[in-house]
Amino acid sequence: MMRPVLLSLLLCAPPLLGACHPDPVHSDKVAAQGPEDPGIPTGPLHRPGQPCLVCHGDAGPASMVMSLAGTLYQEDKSRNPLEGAIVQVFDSAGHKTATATNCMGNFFIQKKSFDPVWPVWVQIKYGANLPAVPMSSAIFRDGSCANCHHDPTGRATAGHVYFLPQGTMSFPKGGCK
Amino acid sequence: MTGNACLRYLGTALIGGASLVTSACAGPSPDGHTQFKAPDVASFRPVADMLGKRCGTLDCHGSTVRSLRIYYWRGLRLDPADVPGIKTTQAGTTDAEYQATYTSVLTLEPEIMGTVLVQHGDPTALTIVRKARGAEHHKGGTVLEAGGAADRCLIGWLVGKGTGTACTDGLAIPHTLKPFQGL
Repeated sequence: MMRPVLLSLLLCAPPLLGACHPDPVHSDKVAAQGPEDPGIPTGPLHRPGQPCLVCHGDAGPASMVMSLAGTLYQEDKSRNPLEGAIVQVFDSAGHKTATATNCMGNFFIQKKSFDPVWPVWVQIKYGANLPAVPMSSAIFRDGSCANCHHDPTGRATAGHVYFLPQGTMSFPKGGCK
Repeated sequence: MTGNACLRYLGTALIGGASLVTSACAGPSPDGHTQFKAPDVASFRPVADMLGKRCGTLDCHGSTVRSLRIYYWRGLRLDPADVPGIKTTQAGTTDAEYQATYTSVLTLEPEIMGTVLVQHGDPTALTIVRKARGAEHHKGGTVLEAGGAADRCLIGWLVGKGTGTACTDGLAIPHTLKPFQGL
């Protein structure tokens, strides 16, 4: 009598347990980011140029949830980080916020402080006397810059986010000490 | 539920599932053709420009993983040598990209689209209209407000009544952000 019951439990349980399993697609995306650089501590300086919200989105696994995050570089042809730039964000409801890039060029905005109404528009300010550089299109849903802005450039990626084309001006040597 | 009842239930479900699979395999012949009247290709460009700006960013329908793929010079490019945001023609978007977007829009629901055009059916029978208006679940929310210029652009083209200035008017995404009004 017990055998059919056990068998049926085995057959019926997996669909219920499946609901508790993590999303395998998301897990694969997290795994695809690879290991940490051993020379960079986990924190605001880590993983420049990677799509931050893969781990820092609502699905985790990072505890800090971000709404927008990315890495800025000085020029289009190089990957010297742009430190001290101000990233200004405007959303469709008229809310705005701003944050600065660190020595790796990384910036992030926590969702608990700014949960935008999409689409959002972004522009970069750098230096006291230079005009702001706006992104030419709106962002409609993806808070990770690197999903649409990764190298090498191609038909579905505009390349890394940069302030000016190479040779337009001279920048201080970028990077963390 | 007892163990036996659970097994019976499972068996019924498996048989039911198998029936569905069998019936799915007995679909239209691979040699069959479906003909339908398609909206005008000649007047599609302004519609495509509007769709490109409002729906075709790389994080939305400017992606090859979407059923609706929109090719636009500031978004997904068709030619692997082209890059988002870089114009290779005066218009930006190439002829081949306009054609590819047209094909993508048409092949979403061709029979229904033909019905809307020929029999003057309700455009909201089309998923693209319902999703764009936010009347059906759409991750991008409402991108074409019903009755607004961009919506009139799409509907006017779909039903063959012309778009007037709706597509040009629909390019402007309403917002009050002065630094970006020129975009």
